[in-house]
Amino acid sequence: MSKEPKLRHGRDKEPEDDDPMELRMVPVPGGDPLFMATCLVEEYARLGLDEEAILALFRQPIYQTHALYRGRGEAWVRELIRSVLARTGRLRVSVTVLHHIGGCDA
Amino acid sequence: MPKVYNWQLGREMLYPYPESHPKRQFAFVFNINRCIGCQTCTMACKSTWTFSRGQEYMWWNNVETKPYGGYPHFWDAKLLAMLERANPGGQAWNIGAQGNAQTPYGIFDGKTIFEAVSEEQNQEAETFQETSGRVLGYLPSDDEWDAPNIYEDTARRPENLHRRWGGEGASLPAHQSWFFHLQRICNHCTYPGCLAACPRQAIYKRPEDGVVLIDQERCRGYRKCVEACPYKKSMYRGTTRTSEKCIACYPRLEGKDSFLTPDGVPIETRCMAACVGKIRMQGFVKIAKDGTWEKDPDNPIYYMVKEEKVALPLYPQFGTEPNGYYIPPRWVPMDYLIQMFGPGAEHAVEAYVCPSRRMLGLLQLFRVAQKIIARFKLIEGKKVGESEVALPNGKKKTLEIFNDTVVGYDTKDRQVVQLTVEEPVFERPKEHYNSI
Repeated sequence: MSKEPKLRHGRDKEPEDDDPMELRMVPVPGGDPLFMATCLVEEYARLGLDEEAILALFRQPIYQTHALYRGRGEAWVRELIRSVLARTGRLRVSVTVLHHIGGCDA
Repeated sequence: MPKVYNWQLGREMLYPYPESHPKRQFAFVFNINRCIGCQTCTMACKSTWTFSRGQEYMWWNNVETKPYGGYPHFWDAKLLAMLERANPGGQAWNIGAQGNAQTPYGIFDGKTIFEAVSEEQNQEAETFQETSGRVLGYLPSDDEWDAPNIYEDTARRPENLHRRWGGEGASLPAHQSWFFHLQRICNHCTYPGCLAACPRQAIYKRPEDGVVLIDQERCRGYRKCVEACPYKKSMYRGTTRTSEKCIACYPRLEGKDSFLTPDGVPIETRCMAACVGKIRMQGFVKIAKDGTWEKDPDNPIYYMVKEEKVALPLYPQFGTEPNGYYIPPRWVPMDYLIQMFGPGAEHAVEAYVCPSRRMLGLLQLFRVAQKIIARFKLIEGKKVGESEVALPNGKKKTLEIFNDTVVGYDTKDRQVVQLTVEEPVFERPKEHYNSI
């Protein structure tokens, strides 16, 4: 007895490049999310942020970096931050602003 | 049509008006590498300038997620396709001449938005309205202005967010591919497409700072500027029947607010001053009579654009000579970066990944003060560390860290901020604090 192919719901199908209805969500070939996340961590390490402060950039749901946190989990992000900080360290920077301007929301 | 010199293209190009340049030009550098897409800049601008009736859809500052997103939708992909149709296979750079002061990125052999419009079409048209005509462009439909940045990063609503637009409709899988955030305001172009297209000559560049403004008295809302601006940063307001655009927060640039700047020096625009990720720096560059930038290597903007060549214009091939510059994201495939920022992208990424001492110091100066930093100085200290960095071509290089101090000065040449890189710090994770 032949088995009928199982029908798939539209939402379960992979996005396709030539589908105009899905253009905004079609992944573009090339690039590496892990490299992207590594670069971001390096950037903020270079600005002097520590592990917890950098993790907060990923944990906060209103920041777009949260997509990685949501997709891969906190343990993955934390491990990535640690590996980068172990390699590059973070810069300790002291800042002196000599002329403040009025208003806290200027 | 007159010819003007566009240094970003490395050649003369056609433009509807002869050359006329301001004394100095408002310009800015955005470091894409640091942007986390928090949209604080977007909201700072919105809550200052576009919160009124008729402006609901307007976002003079927006941050879009590339390569998927755009505001209006697909603005850049559409215009790139139009240019390609106008000049099939010809939109290319000759990089042989790269590096010369007149041709820093090489020579663009293709057609700009001013050149791609058929000469024939211009001559046949009897009225200006028929041509629209001076600039290749398109008018986005209403739905294309919708929902900037919503679902550009995630195909569905995050579980822990409750937004009315979330709903429970059809959902797509969240993509796992690369992306970066592109921050956009009006580029206050040297050769603005909006200005070229306005049939009322209602758009002008201020001679004191090159800011491009729409005279609301003269504007009659024909929307030619909306059609012509390649970056789509001119927007129509139905309630006043005029077009509006980013004004570079010019009251702040003028330093005339007695509360914010009692000493009368320019301060940063709202979007820049609000930036959480410290990605933005703005300033003024001195413009010579021929439109070139006067040599000024202590000016942060000049230094990054002309000396280090680490910051590049957005889509220079459009031909408007935009005055917004971007440090390209280093994790993005090079072909994509070259299309977006021109052939200088490879050098820019390399120069950014392993910055010079001066550049590393300047990168720390981003967003540490509200005042515009007109000049900076590096005081050299001793070497305090080094780390290995990977260049885009896969080679490794050593980044040396020095105990340098960088000092920023305002437009009255008074010291505003002093910043010292002390040392790289390596911290033991919390759970291992007592493991020695």
